[in-house]
Amino acid sequence: MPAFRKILPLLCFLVTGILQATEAERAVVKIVNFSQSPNWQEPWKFSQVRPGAGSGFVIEGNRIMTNAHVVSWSRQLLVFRYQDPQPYRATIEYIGHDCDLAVLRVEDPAFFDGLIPLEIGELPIVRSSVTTYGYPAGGQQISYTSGVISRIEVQRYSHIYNRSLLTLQTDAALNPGNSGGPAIQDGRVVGVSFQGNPDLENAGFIIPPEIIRHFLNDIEDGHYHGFPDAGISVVQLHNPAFRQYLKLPNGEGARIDRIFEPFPETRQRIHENDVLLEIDGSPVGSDGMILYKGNRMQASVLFDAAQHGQSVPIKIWRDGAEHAIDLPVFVNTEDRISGSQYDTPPPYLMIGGLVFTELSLDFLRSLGRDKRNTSAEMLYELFYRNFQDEDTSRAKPILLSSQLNHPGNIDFRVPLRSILTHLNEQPIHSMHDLQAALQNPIDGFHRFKFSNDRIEALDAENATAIDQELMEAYQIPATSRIHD
Amino acid sequence: MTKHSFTTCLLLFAITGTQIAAFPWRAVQAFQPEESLVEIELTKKIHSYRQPWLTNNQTGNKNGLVIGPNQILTTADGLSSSATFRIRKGGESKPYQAQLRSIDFQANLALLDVEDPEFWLHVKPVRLADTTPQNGILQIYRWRSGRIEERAAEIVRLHVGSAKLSDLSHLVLLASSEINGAGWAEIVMDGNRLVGLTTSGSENKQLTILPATFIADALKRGPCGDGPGHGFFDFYWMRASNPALLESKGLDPEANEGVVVTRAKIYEDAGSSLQDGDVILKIDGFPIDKEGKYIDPEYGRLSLEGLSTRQHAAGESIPMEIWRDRQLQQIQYSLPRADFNHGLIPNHQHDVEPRYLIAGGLLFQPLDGPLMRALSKANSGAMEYYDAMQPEIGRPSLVVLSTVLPDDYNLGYENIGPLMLDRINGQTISTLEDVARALANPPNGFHRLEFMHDDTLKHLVLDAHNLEAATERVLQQYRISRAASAELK
Repeated sequence: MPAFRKILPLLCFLVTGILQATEAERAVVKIVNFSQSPNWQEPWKFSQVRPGAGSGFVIEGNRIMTNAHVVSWSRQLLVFRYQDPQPYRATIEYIGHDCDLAVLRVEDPAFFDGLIPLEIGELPIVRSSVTTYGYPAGGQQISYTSGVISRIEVQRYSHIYNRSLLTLQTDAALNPGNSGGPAIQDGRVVGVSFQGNPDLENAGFIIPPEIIRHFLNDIEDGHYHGFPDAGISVVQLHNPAFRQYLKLPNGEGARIDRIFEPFPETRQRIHENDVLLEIDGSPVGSDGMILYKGNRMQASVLFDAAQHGQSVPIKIWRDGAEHAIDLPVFVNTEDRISGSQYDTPPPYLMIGGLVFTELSLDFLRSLGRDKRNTSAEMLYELFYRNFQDEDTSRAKPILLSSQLNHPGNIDFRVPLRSILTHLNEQPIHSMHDLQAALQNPIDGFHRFKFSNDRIEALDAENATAIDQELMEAYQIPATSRIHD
Repeated sequence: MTKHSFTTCLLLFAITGTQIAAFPWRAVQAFQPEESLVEIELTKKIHSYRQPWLTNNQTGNKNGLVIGPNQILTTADGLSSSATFRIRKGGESKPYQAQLRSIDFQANLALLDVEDPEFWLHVKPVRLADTTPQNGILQIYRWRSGRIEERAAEIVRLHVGSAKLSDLSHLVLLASSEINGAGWAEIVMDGNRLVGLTTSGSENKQLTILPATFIADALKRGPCGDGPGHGFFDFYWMRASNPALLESKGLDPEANEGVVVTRAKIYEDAGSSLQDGDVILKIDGFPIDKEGKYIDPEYGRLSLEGLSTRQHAAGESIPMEIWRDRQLQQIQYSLPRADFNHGLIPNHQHDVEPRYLIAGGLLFQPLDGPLMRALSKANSGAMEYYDAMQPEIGRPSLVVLSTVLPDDYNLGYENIGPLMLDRINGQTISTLEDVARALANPPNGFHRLEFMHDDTLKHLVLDAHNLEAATERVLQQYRISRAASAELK
């Protein structure tokens, strides 16, 4: 007996550990998404239905957390419990494409019977071990991989493409299907597996607790806003002459090189060549980095911690003096075209068989890898918009995406993918502009002008008749889809 | 050779040609290529645009043809920055030193001369054909290992195309031949007359030939003849094939006439008599159809672009009939001179060493086509856009900070560039001379550099007092002989 007493604590520890492991794996679910993504060149079309599989895990409130990319463009979502063949119908409650996270609801409450939700833990430290859970390709059963946290820094989130947020890198093997599964340390979730990098070996990436909590806090008011941005470009300030020019007394602080558009609130408070000294109490180094929970990383991580519309206290150096500023940060929705877009199919408007849509990253990708299909102008219009003025950054270039040939438009000679600058002498900066200009033909003709100097015309009455015929011939549901 | 003597020479050939045509019973001497065809060996400088202070050399061979006393004709291709020329004739091994008399990169032509009178013994000039055949078999000749190689070439078609080294539009003859590696001024003959010089060959056995008829005109108009230069149409146009477009302008949609001007002025600062939206109905008296073609009296249906070089030189006026504001109008179009410096980022550069200026380890270079190609993947998206679209940005040219040679002076800037300069010390920058002038006037002991608003970095500051010392140090450290290209004072 005395010997048993001696080993009792050890047995309790082992049993607890086994139970914890069992609870964790029971809380991990398999998600099957039947999705249909839009055709960006012929926007009334959608791809054939494709099944895709990912992982998720139960969190408090009878919800499932997963990656946004696992459930994007979903037509039907099914979830499967641990070692249970029964499919359950699920729906997306909230989705954050910028942080690649989503929360699902399951219609049948019985799904959650006996499942203990996983708790979200704290940011793990570098070199600590994590275990990932999920349903990756290559088998039907749950899979576990272990590894260490290799590094913690800000990385591009490939699902949205034009956002970079805090990321954990691990050497645990992550494969397709692992996405959305939890990375667990000491029984708590310290991350959500979400992406790899084909150029690296033994490197998988995990969304850390800071981002998960930000997402969950954001949706508490019933609406997901997203991660805000300060709208500034912070660059290193190592050069002694530049520091002297700015009358900086010491070696700290990084320079604000430019203010992006459209960030009018930032523009009111910040000037180019202000020096960013501190964000929310954390000193900014001359390399533009801060020390965040023991990790050196881009200062932007502290702006990311705020919610849309909140202010972040910062200290800047301007005109030889330190200034304290509360900088409100906002989610930038105007740059959506330079990132991947989801949920809403692309807008389009057909005029006499000519189909116009927004220039977007998705449109560009739909053209494939052949560089002859893209132009310097398209890339510039897409990725340099927030370097220009506020109006330009808010505008959305419209291009000719396809031409459905008809005897009435067969001689319309404008290369596909030309950017439309004017219709009926009205400047075109959005689908709404296009829709409005369409109402005002000149002398019975729609007159087009493109950025490559091409000009063309269509008889306005004929154009309407052509569209009716083409809608019938190609089973196009409507001549336009324009979002508010 | 002066313009006068050359003109006389051509006239003489023309008269001879007429005599042969008038007296067909006279025996026409068969063409002996070894008497007229020569092999040119050239040594040229190869410049590095990434390190513009470095120069290498390269030797190459091409063909030339004696077309008159002290006149050896070849193409300008490959002759840029050539320093020495040696010529062999008749399959002999003895080389003769040659001199470049004139070169016309726009038209892709050059004339060489050999001073040694011995060279001119037993060589016979070849006449240029006064018309370009449009079908049939031609002969191609070149030297190979001291022997003449002769090949047949079947004419594919004659059309208006772009010059190989410039954007000039002129007649181009396409032919098909089994000859390999051609394109280096191999001579193309029809009997004993030069039909043209090859300018390029391709794997699909197609040869591009610069027609002798164009050569004869170009030798008079261009630098080879001290002429006014070659003209070009400084406007963009598009086909008016869409009846609705013509109808919207008040023209008969069924009429097969006219092209629409989409940009009336591309490069020239001087005003153009054309306006955006004009419909060009006739050029130089030739009706223009809706596909932009005219009927050439000699060669049939050709692109209107060819009319820019058909009979006119730069500066001459060409009558045009246009449709503007629903009215027929007659205008005179003044033909601008083709110039390699046209455009915000000029595409071609020939016979010029890359220009540069190093200041404190920062390498500044004019932004042009060769530099864009050298920097290639390092180019910013904004640079690619400016190159492709040539937008009007309130300055005629651009300078880039292409790279930084690391030094304590430029600490923190090692990884920047290439960046397009906007201003230095408040002064707008278009040229390297602007850079030098602006750096001579630093306010408050600092140089403040600003880059174009749509490039990746906007601001940079340098210490003004130590700039000169830093430049000297960088030159020594990186073994660079000069802080600036030779012509930059």
